[in-house]
Amino acid sequence: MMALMKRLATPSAALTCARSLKARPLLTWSVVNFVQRNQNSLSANSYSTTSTTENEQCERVSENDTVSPEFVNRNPRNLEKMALAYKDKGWYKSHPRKEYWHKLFVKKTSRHVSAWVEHVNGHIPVKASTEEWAIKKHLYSTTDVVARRNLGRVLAQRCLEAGIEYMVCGLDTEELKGEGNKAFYDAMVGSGVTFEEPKPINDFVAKKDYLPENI
Amino acid sequence: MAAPFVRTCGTFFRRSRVMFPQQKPQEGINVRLFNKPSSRLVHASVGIDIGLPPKLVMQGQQTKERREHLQNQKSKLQLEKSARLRQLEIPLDEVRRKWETTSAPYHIRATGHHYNIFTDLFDGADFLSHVVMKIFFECPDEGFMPVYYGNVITPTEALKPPTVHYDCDAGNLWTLLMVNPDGHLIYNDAEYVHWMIGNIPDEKLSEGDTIFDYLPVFPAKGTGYQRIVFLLFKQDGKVNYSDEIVPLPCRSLPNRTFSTHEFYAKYQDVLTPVGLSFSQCRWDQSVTAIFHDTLDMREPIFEYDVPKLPVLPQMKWPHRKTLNYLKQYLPDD
Repeated sequence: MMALMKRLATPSAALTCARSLKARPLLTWSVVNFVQRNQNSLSANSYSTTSTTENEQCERVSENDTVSPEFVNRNPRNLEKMALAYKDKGWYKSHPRKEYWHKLFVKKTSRHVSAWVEHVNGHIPVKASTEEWAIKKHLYSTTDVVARRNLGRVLAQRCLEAGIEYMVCGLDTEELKGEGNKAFYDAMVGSGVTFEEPKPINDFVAKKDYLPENI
Repeated sequence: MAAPFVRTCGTFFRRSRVMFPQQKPQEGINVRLFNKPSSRLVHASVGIDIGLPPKLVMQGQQTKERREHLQNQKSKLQLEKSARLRQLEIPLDEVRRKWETTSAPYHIRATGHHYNIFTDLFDGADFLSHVVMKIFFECPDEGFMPVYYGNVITPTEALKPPTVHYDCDAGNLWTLLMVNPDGHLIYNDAEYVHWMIGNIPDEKLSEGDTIFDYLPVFPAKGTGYQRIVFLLFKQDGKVNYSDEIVPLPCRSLPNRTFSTHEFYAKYQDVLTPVGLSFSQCRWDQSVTAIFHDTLDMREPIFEYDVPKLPVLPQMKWPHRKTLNYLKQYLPDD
């Protein structure tokens, strides 16, 4: 089969504009310490406040040894996995809230059941539905409790394959009382998905008290 | 999809001023922009599909076959019994096998966009991964760690090259590429190529031209989870990779510095991406040995720079502001 010769767009003004927008890194890491060979890395306490100037004055061991003092990790899911990312807390006076990173949605129609995981930004990385032939061909009915349970098993497998282990459940306590939703929920939990997201580390940082009572 | 917004209490949101205007940041301050434009819009190749078109299927015949199958399902007593007694458990491996030929390309593309694979590697151009690769790392304690679409693997499991299987048409040549777009220690936009084999006949990796031999993954300590991307390209005949050849075994990081975008732009007439698989990787003890022994360098350790939240310039006459407003402008003592 001949491949369609789709060409990549040549760098244009849009790209140069993009470069200038990306010039300010959002997620930076700074080098704290270097570990020499034959040195126990645990003794070099990596999270202490050592200055980086003394590292620059050290001799380079080989041509590989140059490291930029600032490191940017472009993985968009990195901060969420490290629980360093912020959660969108500003919607606490509205419904639904957006204080999550990944949320599970379930849609039931008269003929089919669909479920998907949605990121707070709107991306849908993982989804499963009884409309898919791969699932439908094994089922007797596409809307009964057994269908929902098996849909949960399939979706949980796909979530774990996509690296999404923690999410918030879009079914509230009233909806979870129903047999179908309960079967779906239990199947997801039984297959390894956790319906509680880690709390961001920033929430644990003690707020600075600028006006202490005892001055 | 999501439920419509409902105002649960009588809050009046005043729109007299935009909360965080796009102001020019002063030098030396790392400003985190909340209203940043969508990352997919700024890339030049967004919307271009560089993969193969979907396979032609005789739709009428397929619908007829499926309808017949479903009608037969309804008449199967055993199936109805197990469904009504809530004992039916569908075979997940068969579901996955069928999924690979039907919906997998679209789902993998969506997951790839979620992890910004296409924006970082191909400048926004995406493709449907019709060939689903089965990549397994052999674990030291007798097991197999597969690579799917974002699952976490450890560097200890990835010390040796994995076994790679894919459904291939006989007589075609393939190129396998393994890159780490996040781990570059000097440049933010560059990648490290860990493994590249070109001109692979069918599935036999050993008979292909090894351009870059396998280098284990080395995510630096403190940097978090880095993506490891496996790409499979279908070749239009034999490709001459003499420009890419470096002296093997290649342990030099400047030689391993790579840009998939430039590589693909150079060979886009003869290569088509057909397979995508990726995972996430984080530091563990074996990475220290890789830095010290394999790469012959000191191991860097990083710490996260917490960005300061943006603060508006202080108003000279803060009308109707509380004392909390002034707290933002106190020095960091």
